[in-house]
Amino acid sequence: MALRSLAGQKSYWHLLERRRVPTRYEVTTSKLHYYTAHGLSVATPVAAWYDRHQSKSPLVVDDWEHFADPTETTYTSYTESRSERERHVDHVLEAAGSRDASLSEAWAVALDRALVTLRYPRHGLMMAAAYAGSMAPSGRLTVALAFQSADETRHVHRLAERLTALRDARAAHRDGEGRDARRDWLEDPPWQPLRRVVEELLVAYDWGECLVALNVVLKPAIDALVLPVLASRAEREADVVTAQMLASLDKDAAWHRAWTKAFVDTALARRADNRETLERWVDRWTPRVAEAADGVARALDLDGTPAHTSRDAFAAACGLRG
Amino acid sequence: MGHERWHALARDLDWEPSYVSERALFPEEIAGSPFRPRADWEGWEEPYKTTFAEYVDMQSAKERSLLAVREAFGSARYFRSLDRSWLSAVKLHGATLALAEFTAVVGNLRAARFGRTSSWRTAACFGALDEIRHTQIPLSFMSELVRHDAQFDWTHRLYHTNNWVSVAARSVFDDLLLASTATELAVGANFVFETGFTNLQFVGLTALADRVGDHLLRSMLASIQTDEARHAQIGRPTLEKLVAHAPDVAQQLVDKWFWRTWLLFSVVTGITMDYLTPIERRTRSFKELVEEWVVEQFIAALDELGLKRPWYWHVFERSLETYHHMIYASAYSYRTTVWFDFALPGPEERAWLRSHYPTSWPSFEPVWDRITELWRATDPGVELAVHGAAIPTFCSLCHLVLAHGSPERNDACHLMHGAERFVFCSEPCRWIFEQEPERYTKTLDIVKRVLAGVAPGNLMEFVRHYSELRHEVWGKDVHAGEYPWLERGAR
Repeated sequence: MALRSLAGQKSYWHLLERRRVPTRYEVTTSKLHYYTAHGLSVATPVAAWYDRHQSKSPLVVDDWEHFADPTETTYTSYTESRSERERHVDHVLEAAGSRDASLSEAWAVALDRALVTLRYPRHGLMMAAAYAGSMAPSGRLTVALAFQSADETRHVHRLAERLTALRDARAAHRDGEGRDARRDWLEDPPWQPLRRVVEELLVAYDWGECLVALNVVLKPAIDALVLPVLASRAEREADVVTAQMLASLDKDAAWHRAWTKAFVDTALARRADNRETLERWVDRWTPRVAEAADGVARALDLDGTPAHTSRDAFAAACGLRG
Repeated sequence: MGHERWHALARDLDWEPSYVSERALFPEEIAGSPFRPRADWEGWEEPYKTTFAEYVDMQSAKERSLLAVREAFGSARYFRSLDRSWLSAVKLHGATLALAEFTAVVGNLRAARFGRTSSWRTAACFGALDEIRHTQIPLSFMSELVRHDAQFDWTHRLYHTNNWVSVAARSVFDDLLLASTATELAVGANFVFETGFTNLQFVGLTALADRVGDHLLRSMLASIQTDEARHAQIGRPTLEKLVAHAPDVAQQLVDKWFWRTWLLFSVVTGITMDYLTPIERRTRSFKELVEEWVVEQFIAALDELGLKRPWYWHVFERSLETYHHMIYASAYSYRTTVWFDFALPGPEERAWLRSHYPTSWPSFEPVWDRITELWRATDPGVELAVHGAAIPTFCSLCHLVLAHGSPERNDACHLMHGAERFVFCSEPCRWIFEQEPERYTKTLDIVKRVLAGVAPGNLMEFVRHYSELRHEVWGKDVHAGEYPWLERGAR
């Protein structure tokens, strides 16, 4: 069969400038949003929403294609990595067996309340990641945020499963089940600053502000508390199962921070004016998040732990005034 | 632990906000209209429940098996093993599919934020992941074919161009996924498009790919279909709630999206099945498959939901007989304007089409007689001697050529909106426009672009510069007009 004239083209049109064989990540994540150049072809309220909250955002760079997830996560690698982590957690939870029955009464009650309540903000974090992903002007950001929102779903599912196992093991003390599951989240004072910041974050509709508030300010502070710090507390309570489960979830959160750092680097490197915008957002959200983190530390009895004092550290690690 | 033990604790995670209002949290303009309070959405339930662990376990296994098929076939071997007209169908498919799937990622993420219950949002989150997969599979697989055939470059390129197919496809996917509310996309994308039509594509076409010996496309489509079946489920419970609280809106959305989806599938799947599949591999016609996979199931679903079949059903039934034949004849005549090649139906193909479309096919015979005569009168490879010369006219709603109706009677109709005249391929397209004219006046059709001086009026300029097609890429007859049955006398 006669092959069509090739003119030496070895890859897609938009990858030819690189003059090397593109990676799998480049092939599958580059220039995936066509609408950012062409505009939307229908005039709907959602199209006007993109105009207000994406096109008119103060956060701009010449070309978001310069952003790349440092771990080059594709669908294939994501599902592979998470299924390995999930298998590990399955083994951990299966091994729990009778151990839960020997947990101290005080810890079991506290853990039950923590797990019940944490499901709500975690679902809120899933929603915020999904929003930022739907609005991000770069396909690679959209991909990373979609995987992040799925990680938050993973987190919710593991909280629910751990909660059920805990209640099974302590069938004689099923006090947690009788309580209205939403009560602490809606009414308990220490949780209210977090609920407030999650609700406010969900209506922070500028895509850049939403992403910065979520990934630079809120998540690093809250994840630090409810993952490694809570895990240490669990270890002290001889609850190895909870500790290992949280350690696995913390790996997801570490990836969220890693690509967020790359995102901030891109924003700062491509346009100097972005520093002022990013720092303004960090300043705007930091006090509310600090209050929320204090509340969570109180609710979970985590005061005085090292990560609690390092809640601004991530913004600083990204080169932003924390 | 079996997920039925704990899943309920992960599903119901809505709460009454107090620091912001529920309307601010779920604005009507992006969550869906009309706004209904949280209580009205309670009881929303997806039939098939997935946990994260099950999802990644199942999906990583699917990825591994697809990778194994791909490695077994290798790009060069794959490319050389296939019939050329079938390869054209693969190019049509890959290009219309890949980046459109990414608009579905965006749409699903919007639903994962603005869906009205936590279980809807969680299902949409998995849906977004599925659609990333459906973007990355064709991009990844077809990137290796670019070195064998530059037309595969359009797997990624199509939507970034002003090619008329891209204008038409963007108009439908922007409307369906990028710029629609969470509710509209649950009805339009999850219920109509995925539940109603994708079986046609993924089941019908998968069977054909199998018969053609295209193991890679078969595995790819079959694997994708299993994802669709899962996230398509978001549609039904959403539509049930909408029927309960706003039945007119539910009916209007179903009517609109059935028509827009029908036109899209006619173009992509219709011409693949009835024209680009080698004759010896065909089984049933596109029309028969639509009747079995779409019409029967769709009508049954509408009945169960208490909805009526769309008002234009008589137009649809006629369309089923003619539309993709009109599109194919028209596209063949303008093949330089697209990125894939076309087969000229010969006596055997025409006999097959006559037997499957006994009432409508006779009208198309003279069209193909004329095209065949033009080839007979010229040498093989002289494509432009058998080609349209003027730029055709396009519908102001679907942006496809005015090809609805039959060769004897085109259904084109028009409408004055303000001082401007808009032309449509069919009554349903005009009706969709009339419902929300401001929504659809933004995109100029190709003829208006020419008149406005945005696009060139000369066909070759239009192809080269506006549609971004180079000579080695633009569509040709797959056999350059040289067929064993087409005899040319001494000239």
